[in-house]
Amino acid sequence: MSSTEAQRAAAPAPGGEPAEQSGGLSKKGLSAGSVGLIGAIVIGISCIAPAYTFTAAIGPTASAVGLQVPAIILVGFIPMLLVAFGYRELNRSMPDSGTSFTWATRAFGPWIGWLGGWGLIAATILVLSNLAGVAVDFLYLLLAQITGNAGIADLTSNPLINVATCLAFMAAATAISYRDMQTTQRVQYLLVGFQIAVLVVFAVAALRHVADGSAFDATPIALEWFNPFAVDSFSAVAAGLSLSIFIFWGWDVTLTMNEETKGSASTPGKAATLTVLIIVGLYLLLSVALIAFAGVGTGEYGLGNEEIQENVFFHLSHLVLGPFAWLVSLAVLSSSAASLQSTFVSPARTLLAMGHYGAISPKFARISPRFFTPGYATIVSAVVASAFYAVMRFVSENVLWDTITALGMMICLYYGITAFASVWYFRRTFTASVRNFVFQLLCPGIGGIILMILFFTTIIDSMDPAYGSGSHLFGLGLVFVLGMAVLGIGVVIMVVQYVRRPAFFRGETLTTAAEER
Amino acid sequence: MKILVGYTHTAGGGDAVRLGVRLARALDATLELVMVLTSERGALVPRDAGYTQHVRTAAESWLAEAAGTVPDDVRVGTHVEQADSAAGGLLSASRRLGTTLIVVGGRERTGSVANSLLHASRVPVAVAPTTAGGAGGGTPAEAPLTRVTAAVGLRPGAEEVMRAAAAAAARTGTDLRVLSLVPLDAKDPAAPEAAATANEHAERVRGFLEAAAPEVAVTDVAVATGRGIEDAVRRAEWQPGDLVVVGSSRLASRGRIFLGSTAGKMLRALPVPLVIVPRETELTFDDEETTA
Repeated sequence: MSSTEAQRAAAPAPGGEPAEQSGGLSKKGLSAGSVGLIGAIVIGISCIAPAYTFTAAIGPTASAVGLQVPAIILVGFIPMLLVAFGYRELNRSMPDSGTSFTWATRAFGPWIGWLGGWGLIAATILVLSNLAGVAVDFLYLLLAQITGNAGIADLTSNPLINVATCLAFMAAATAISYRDMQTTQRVQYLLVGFQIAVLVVFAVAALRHVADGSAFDATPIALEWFNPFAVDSFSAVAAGLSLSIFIFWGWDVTLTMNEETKGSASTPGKAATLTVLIIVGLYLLLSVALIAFAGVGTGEYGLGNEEIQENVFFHLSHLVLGPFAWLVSLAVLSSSAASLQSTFVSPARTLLAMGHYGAISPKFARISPRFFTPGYATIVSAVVASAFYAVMRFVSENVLWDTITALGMMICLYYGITAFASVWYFRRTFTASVRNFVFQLLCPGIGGIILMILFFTTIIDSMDPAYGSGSHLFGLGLVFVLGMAVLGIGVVIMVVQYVRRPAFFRGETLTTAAEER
Repeated sequence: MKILVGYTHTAGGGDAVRLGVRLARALDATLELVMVLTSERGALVPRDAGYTQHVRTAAESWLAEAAGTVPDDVRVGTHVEQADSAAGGLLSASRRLGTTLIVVGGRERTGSVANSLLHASRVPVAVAPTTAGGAGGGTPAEAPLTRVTAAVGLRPGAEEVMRAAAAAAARTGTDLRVLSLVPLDAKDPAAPEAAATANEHAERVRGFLEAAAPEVAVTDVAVATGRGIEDAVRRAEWQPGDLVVVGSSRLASRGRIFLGSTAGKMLRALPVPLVIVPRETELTFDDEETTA
């Protein structure tokens, strides 16, 4: 395709000049529709999608660390924060839609860069299938609650209906992403406000049940819940942490919005801080309320019950809110829908960058001339995520659970690579100032080490067939098989690309470099 | 004079460029190819400077490709405009560049971009027909302009369209035809009484023209009948070198264009380009923007 060739020839090397200084632009590109403080917080919360994240992650986390879920949530934020600083530095120095892929390639060369990109794509495709799966559960639950016919909620356990509905969701989300249909800011404010309000109401209602003795398994709240050292083993802490990284995943966008925010220069920092305070506060309130309400036992509605763990709100909302349980379903559904849209953007953009630099087929670099979206990459991501979900649904009963755990592993991998990319890329500048030393070396360095430890601990522990949901293949835990299969496929595709497109792997399209003083 | 062409890298964008070339030749104007990049969704997904840059690079290469298709005798410039909406971007580019005519493409002509433009612009907007819908087996997308057709009814405001069409015909050195479309509800357009209605209507148009705009020299007065406006348009006689001029609806505020319902129906059926002119504004084709 000639236009693709032209694009590549015309594309500037990444890390050259900042985007807004180049090109014959009549108007500074980012000035239209920049976001203020509230807007940035809304984007941050919307990307994290707390209602969806919490229902998917609280069960597996509770089963790993028991009563210490609040402690793990508090500790789990630390590696995310540390890595996010490195992410911000890299984004400032080399703004590029390939993010982790481009940065890791610049720092460590094509092979590690390729794997970093693969980790990001795999993680986002896993989360896309999980999001769609959660949305399906809550769609049928909401229908059951509204019609008063409890049988409808069971439709989601029929694999055929479930997969068909999921594919419909995926198709809709793909069409929206492909055509770049925008939710207006006002609608987004409403959705996020509604999500937070419902979660707070849910937590307060659960605590009231605890107070008046009508809770399922009232457990007295203890300070010990906030102590990470009270968890039995390091493996449990590692498992819990890799899950809690998932619950904060998406927060980093608030840090990288520095160009677009209006108002004072401190707006992005304020937005990131406020977002995380809101999210941590919400998660702590919810986890304390849920544990106090249901305990971590394996009883019918205990958080330790494998039957309910993969989707806690789905099973507990009617106990806590009674006739108003549908509010929770609606909140999770809208949260998943918004997250499905925002999540679609990142694998498509990374695939686009990889296609652009010749790491994969140049078809991925195509931009839809009508909608200015990475059309080909968007459709491929959707097809892969849909196929993945359909296969997994038939392989494992607990597909949602296992994908979430495998997802945590992938996030650790590509965040870890990105963190080390920051350390290495800035090797000549981090001694220039205390600020550089802290944000370019210290924070991402420590964050990267923590993530790598989590990554390898999870790999080793997940070989146990009883790991995660207990689903297993060939005598190995399904999470391990999933993680290794995803990485293995990545390596195979990478080698195929090396044979077919050696230019990228010889460093001809994207050179290794370091930030100069 | 400068003509702005709203370009998209689609078949419709190609149609717009070809019409732009024809008009530029007829009016001795410079073409400004403008591609509008709408801001990425700010409400849900944070913008990504790298992606924005990638899209901009693609847009620039598409524009360069389009400018390459413009023949050497026509001067051409290219611009990337960033805006919240495609139509808004074209209008702001038009103000900034001082263009006095906006050309948009065929396939998207009933789409939202053309639609917003056709209800807001302060300068005339020309809409290219789709290449596939050419009239009479000719290649209207390439043919030089030979005739300006003013499409008028018998309502107040028709004299404005007449004067605009006369100015366009004089400027381009082409013939001027006045065309009146007469929808015949539930009547067979081939029946004798339909022909009588048409003749009667033509007489009224001539009388109206003499009274309303006596200074305009008209080459031909024609009436086209049909079961509705669209049918009448299809039955009318068209040449490859035709350009249709229509006025704005009386809903338009002064100095702006507003596509009325009749013109909207014409647009869907026309095999030739259509220009809609603003209301209550003297059309000058001068370099300065006509002001209200």
